[in-house]
Amino acid sequence: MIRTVNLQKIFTTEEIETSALNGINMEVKEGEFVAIMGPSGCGKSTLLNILGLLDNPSGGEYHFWDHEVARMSERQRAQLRKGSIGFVFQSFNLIDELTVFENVELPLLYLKVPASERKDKVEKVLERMNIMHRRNHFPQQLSGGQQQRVAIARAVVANPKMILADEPTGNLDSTNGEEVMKLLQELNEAGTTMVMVTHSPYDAGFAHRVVNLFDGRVVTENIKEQFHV
Amino acid sequence: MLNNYLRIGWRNLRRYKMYSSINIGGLAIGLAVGILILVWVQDELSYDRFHEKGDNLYKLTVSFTSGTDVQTWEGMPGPIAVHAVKEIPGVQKAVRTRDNWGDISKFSYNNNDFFDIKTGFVEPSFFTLFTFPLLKGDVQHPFLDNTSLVVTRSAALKYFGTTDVMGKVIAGDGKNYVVTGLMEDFPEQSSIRYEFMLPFSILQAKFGGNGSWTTLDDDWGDFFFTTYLQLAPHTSIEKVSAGLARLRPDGQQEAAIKYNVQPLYDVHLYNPDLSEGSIKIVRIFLIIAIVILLIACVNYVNLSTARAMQRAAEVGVRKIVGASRRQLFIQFIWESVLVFALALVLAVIMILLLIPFYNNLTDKHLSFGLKNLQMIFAIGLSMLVTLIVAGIYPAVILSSFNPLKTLKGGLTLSGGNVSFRRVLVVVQFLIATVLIVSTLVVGQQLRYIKSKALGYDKENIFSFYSGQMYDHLEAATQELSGSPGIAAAATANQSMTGIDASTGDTYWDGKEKNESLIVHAFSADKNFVQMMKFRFVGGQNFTNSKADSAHFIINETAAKMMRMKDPVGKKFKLWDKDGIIIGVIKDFHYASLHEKIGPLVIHYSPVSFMVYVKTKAGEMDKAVASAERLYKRYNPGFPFRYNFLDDNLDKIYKLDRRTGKLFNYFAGIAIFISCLGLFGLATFATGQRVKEIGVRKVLGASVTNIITLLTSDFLKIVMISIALSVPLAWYIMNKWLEDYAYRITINWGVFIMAGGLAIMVALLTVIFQAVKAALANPVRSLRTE
Repeated sequence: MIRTVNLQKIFTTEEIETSALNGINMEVKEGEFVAIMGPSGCGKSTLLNILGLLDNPSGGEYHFWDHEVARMSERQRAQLRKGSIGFVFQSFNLIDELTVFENVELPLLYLKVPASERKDKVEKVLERMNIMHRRNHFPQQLSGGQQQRVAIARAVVANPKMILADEPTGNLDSTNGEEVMKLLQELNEAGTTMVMVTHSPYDAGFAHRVVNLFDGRVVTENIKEQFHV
Repeated sequence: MLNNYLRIGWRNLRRYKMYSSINIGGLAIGLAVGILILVWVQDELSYDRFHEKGDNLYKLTVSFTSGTDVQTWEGMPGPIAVHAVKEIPGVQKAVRTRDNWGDISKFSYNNNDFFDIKTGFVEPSFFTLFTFPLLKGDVQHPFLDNTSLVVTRSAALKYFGTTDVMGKVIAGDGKNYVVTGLMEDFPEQSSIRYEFMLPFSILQAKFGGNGSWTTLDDDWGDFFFTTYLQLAPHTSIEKVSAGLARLRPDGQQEAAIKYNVQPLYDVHLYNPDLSEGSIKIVRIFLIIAIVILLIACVNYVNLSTARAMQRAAEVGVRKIVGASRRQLFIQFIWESVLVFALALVLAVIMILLLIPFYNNLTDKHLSFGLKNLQMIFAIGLSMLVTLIVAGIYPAVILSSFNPLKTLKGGLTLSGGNVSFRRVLVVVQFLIATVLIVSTLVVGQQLRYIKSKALGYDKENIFSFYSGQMYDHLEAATQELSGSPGIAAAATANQSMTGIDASTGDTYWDGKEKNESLIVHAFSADKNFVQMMKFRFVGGQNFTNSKADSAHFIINETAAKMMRMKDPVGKKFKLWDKDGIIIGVIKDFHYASLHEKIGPLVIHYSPVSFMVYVKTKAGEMDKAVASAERLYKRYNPGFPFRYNFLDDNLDKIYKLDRRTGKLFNYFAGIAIFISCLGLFGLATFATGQRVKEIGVRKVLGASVTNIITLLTSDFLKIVMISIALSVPLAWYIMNKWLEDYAYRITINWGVFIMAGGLAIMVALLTVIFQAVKAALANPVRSLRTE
């Protein structure tokens, strides 16, 4: 589904150049659940952003489905991203001024899905995330776990091919974290490709495969059988 | 989608109440004031625009040049209109009018007497040249004979109690007039206004001759009649003007005379000499309206972009879930529309509340309602322009955010954005400071007008028209002088606040060929000169003797213009009155300070129709009562109307005072809106620096250090504004003062005071937030970060 060849990312400021990714070669197949691990500053989030078409690499190739996207403009990336990738963040990133329902509805609005269909889809996904009873609440009125469930609902409502999760349990207690991970696992089992950045070996245990990064390079790759908690 | 935009916009407004109040409040005040001014401007510009033939209608005025002095009269001699139509190509029709100058002093109907009906003598073409539709009567022959009368609808209701007035008879000074026409009221924006219109032929019939001229249509000597021409389309005004100059009978042509052909549309806003009149004020206020709207827009842009950081995360999320930049741009434009709509509602409420006060201030009858198209137009225009000016920039900034940076929290507005905001604040305070300077200068000039020594004694003097008392005036004034409360009584034939009678019919010792002198001339007696305490620089006052009929008193300017070193005893001729100059008085102001003192001659007359009374100190009421008793003895049934000189002087500066007052209000509003914006920015900037303040305090900064740190940035901006405002304000106010022949000079004190005020206001605005931040517990501020 996605494939990178010698992917590089260099951040340049006025005085220094920092190399965040140093030739990443990796592949994620459709339906896979891949966890990316590594110490802080190793380039996990940078990689995730490039995989999520939020950022362009400085060099190398990135094939998303059949498209070579490494040199696409922001506009083209945005077009490709829309509807095909869902995002889940550590800090939920819900819009405070919108209700649970409206937050989840947002991607469908930008996909110009008709109102009745939107309502249907949002309600279904809220039911699935077990958050339907909170549909008219605002994010600040929810617990962290509930907020992350809303964020996951928003990520999946447009039925994307892939979900990218950046430390999805980082702001949650263990119970809520477990719940969220189970949800992601369920989604994956239902066919959604999942790429997750995490610090937590436990969370990584939900993945089929773990890619370990260090200093912007892939150092090891473990499949689930070799990496069981 | 729109629903979503508006919903989030509304929730944002509710969540950040202080910003919302500042934004909406500032915009609403700006819009309300801007709209009110624009409506006023639109009203001023619409004068006389309702005439169907308006494009081709012109008013004639005439300018006389005498040395460097140019005088312009609105009255024209009778023959001009007659000959212009006959002899000047392109002149199709003409109409002459003249106000009722006491020709008829009292109208009586149904045992009611009316003294102040605004009456004019008009030629029949008045109703066909102008668009003044007759509701009843024959527009081609509105007057059957010299006893006919046309009345306006309101006048019919006011004086006859009905609009069914055709054939009704009203007496005018004992003579009967029959209503032969009912006219629709003059539009509010008409520079021509009467209640009653009488046939011009009355004036022609009663013309008593003037020298060799036997009819009014031949009399080139009296410039009495307001004259309008209808020109064929595309007629050259210059050619008509030149043609008019050639109309005078042979041998009478004077190079010093110039006829002005003024478009009817310009009559309200331009002076009779075609120079700019109140169009200047219209322009100034139009600029003020734009400036106030601009200040409100600047606030909106500043606060919106300053607050953009708080919306950054939302922008990031929206972009990540699929929003395009265009969609976000549209979202923020809609949010601006929402804010503007709310501001507009508030502005309309403000306008509704303010309109009576505003009408009073501007002396207009502006109304607010959906029927008022001008108002709707002004609202639409203000709203659209401000929305475009203020809405686009924040929308561009907000929609341009990089989603990655916004979500990481690493987004900072670029230096360019911050500098742009600073520039906007500089512009805002620049405008505010210019307005403060303007207000101070206008105030100083008005005070100067009020306190300037006019060259005569204006205290405790009132005047009234003698009416029927005129025939016994010598005896009457003598009686008055001895009446209770009265110190002295005198007569003259002009008002001291507007000696507008002038003549070029002058001759003096040493006059050169082709030299002319147009003098202001009026008649007075010895007591008048004494009462006014004119200061003699040479010669003496009249003596009330017979010899005085050949005596003149002139002012210094007249002496100078006639190049007389020692004028006393020199020959002088005014009209057909030969005599000598017996006195030279110091110049005094016989008109407003807008006008330069010109040459002036007082000729002696034992009695003139205007009675001047000087009251004893503190006995004003007694004096008025005495004068009234005497007046009524000679004028039974007529109301006693008198004016104190002080009040008359006040009246001639009414427009100046009104302009001054409006300036004060507008400057106040502009400063207030600017401060609202500054307060918002200061709050925001302080909020941004909470962590910095915490760290500085932990490292030992005192409260004063912190306050200085936070306020100095804003003060720098205000200082720059002040520096830039000096040349601009100086230039603008000098232009404004050019309108006054007698004026103050702008001094540095004004700028120091205005600058000080701007700094003080800015400091007061930001210091509250600065003190709050400086006093905050650093531990807490660091924790919040």
